Amino acid sequence: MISTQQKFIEFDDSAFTRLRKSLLRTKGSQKQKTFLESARDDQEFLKTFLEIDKVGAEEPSIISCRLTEDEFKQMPIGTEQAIYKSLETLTPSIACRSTFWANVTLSYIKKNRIKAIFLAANGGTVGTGAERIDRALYDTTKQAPQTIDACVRAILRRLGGLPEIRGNRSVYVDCPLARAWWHERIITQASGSDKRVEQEVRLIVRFNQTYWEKLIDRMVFRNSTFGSEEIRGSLLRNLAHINEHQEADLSSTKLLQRVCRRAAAFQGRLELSVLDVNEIDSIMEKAIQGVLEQEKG
Amino acid sequence: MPSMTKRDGFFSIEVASPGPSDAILAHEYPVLESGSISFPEGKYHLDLVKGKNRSSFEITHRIEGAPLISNLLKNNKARCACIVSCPVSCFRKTYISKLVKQTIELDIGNLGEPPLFTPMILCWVPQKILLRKIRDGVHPIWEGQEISLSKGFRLAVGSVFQLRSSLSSLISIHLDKQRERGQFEIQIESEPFRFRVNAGEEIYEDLRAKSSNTRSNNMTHVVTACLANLKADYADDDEEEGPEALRALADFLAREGHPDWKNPEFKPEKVATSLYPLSSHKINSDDY
Repeated sequence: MISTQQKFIEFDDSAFTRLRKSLLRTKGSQKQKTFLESARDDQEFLKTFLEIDKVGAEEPSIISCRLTEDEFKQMPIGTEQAIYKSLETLTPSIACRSTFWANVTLSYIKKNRIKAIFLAANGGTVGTGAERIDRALYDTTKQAPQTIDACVRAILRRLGGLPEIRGNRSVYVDCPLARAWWHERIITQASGSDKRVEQEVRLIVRFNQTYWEKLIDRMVFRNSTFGSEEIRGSLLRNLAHINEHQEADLSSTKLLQRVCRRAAAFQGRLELSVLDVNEIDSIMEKAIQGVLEQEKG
Repeated sequence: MPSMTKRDGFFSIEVASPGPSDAILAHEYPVLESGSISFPEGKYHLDLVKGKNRSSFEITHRIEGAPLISNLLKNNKARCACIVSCPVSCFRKTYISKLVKQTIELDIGNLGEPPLFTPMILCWVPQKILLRKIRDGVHPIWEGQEISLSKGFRLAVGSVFQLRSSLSSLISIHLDKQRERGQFEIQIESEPFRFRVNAGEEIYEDLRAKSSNTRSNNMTHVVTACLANLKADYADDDEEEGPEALRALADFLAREGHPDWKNPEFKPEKVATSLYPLSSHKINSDDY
């Protein structure tokens, strides 16, 4: 399908996919090593992508402040809001593409907002991106090819996602800039213009990375119920409300999965999306309370 | 994928037909869906016509052999629905219609790939019904049973289908600043197979524009050129198994009632203007 709304510049899909495939072809290859070495220097890293065709006409706007590595990995709320605002006119049809986010991430490197080595950092406290690259390149054990490959994959995931390996969720979960945009998009949709609800929903969406990944899994799964803005919004509002006003800890991903299964069981009986918003809310509340009662029991 | 036939310019899709299955009592009420014999004579067809602006569709739901559902629709107690979803961009929307003929206006900004369609008939007014085999067209097992229907219950469910235009998905448009503003050229790339359009600035902007009077006609020129290149380069290709994309394109052309590029009858301009007819609009004499 040719998008007629394309205006933001992104990488040409075929060329970008070819590059990623060639990088991932052989674990520990010289190509992977050269790629990792290039990530130590922003200008060298940018050169890797110079030859890739781009489509679109408008460079995406970026935020004005520089981010630290920790801020890039775990973005503060204000930063995520600023990223969303800077790309307010972006549509989901483009925002779901790794070709778009890879170009955005490179713009952040080019304009000195982040450094290329940040892309190699993994979550948690397992060292900085620079340390991971060094560890991979100086590894002399049998495990070296795997370590190098893992580091290359981490960079590609942070750059724009690796959907061919991690599925639809990768863009939403793995690329910090895309994740920031989608966090705010989903919060805005669920809360409408109610600032109090917005804060409560934001807490849910940002519980932790695994929680977000499970939520996204539910939304981008084939023909999923939670792809519907009404149903997704109702689930998040009710989780947020109960989390805020009841002494219940809703941050466990197991609990989330059980709530989603219950809600999906209602959808199995009838088409929820055609119901009045109050009726959907009541069903979502029932699903959450049902799981909480089971937990207590 | 449900069976699809092209008839008099529109697609007719059989989205549900009865079949032997033990799913007859899987629901609290009879549902017309593939594999179930709740409605032994029941068939659910969808006629689909592409809209003029290429982002809309007109679909007509046709229920046969299931008088229970037909009567609920006739008495305004049921609705026709079509779910349009695009998982990759986190999108799912239900379009509802009182009439069996409904128009679906796609919101392109939400679609990261060609969407999935799921047609269905939904109960709209809650009610209790005492089922009768002859009157309602249900299987004898439902005879004399009282069912309670709530709003949103699925009375008929069609299979999910996806419409892909194998031609437009193969076209990739690129800005070529070296080229004159109104010019373009086509290159066929083989890994993966696609038509690369290198377009001068003006024509590039036009082909990418959301709304433009000339976009549609320019696109028809592009398609004509793509097909002409295809004929020139691939008409004598003896390879049985060409690229998958090309086989899909041949199937797409066949469904639209056109020969493929190896056939001497294949005329690029005829195929292109049939798929994407040129629209005539008044031109000021000053334009020339």
